Amino acid sequence: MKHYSRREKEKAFEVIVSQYEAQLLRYVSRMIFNFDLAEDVVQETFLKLFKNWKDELAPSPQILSWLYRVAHNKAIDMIRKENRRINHQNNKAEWDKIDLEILHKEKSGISENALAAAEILNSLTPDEKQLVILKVYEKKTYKEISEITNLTTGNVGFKLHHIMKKMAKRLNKGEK
Amino acid sequence: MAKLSQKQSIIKCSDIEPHLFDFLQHELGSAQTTIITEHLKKCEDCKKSLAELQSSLKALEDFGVAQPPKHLTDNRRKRIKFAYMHPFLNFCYIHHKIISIIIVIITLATVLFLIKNASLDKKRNFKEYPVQLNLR
Ligand SMILES: [Zn+2]
Repeated sequence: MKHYSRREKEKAFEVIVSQYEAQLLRYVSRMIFNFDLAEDVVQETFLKLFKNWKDELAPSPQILSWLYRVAHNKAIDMIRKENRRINHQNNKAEWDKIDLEILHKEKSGISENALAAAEILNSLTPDEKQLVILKVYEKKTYKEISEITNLTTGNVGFKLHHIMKKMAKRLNKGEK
Repeated sequence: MAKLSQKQSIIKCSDIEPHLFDFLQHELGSAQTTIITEHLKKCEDCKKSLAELQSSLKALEDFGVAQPPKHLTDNRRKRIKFAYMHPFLNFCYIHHKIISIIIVIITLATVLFLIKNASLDKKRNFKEYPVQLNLR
């Protein structure tokens, strides 16, 4: 493990956080549909990076893939935790309300179709959601997605095709 | 080219349809892209499937205007930086409850130990007194 001076540590911190905070916030917000909780998840992800990363601390595709993987797992933990909390309070409706907070906040100016698509996105499994977000919003290639998810590129395409088809079917049904 | 059109004539929709999303995302090689482009010119079913995929994509992209924050709040940034720059202090911060409990236990144990010792000393003094009397 490389030893960093205080100044080098500060610089590495600034570079890494500035480079990746926006895309991680975007990714996690779309995973869990709640901005505050997304910030919690991203904070935890960075804490884990700075604690555990043993190689050079400079932006690289490896660090980015690692960050996406950790953020994804932490987002799933967060969804489970929130579900447990709400089940515990016997108030199932609340999570749905929190979930869709972004939708309602942004409702003005968004087409009905886009809202419907977002609601369908929110109802997908976390792994399905991950693929859609990485492809549609983060514009990652199949190869990049396969590095983050450990799926083969063929499998990424296969799964995305099925998810998008399912989504198209549900959107069409909604319109009718 | 003749080879390609011969190939196209035996291509079925079931060969094309599973690759329509890959096609939309430009994830196919040039030969496959040409085959699909040609097939789409003639096949209404696949054209319809493609249009449905495109409209789902468009709906998702339209929703993309919902803007998540671009930066972490200052407090969160400071928190991460503190943990990175001062791992030991951060450890104390995270485990402050356990550390406080341990300190309280140690303090209590020390106090109890001192009290016990003090009372033992008293007893010893008391026992020694008659011995001194006997000496007189
Ligand atoms: Zn066809």
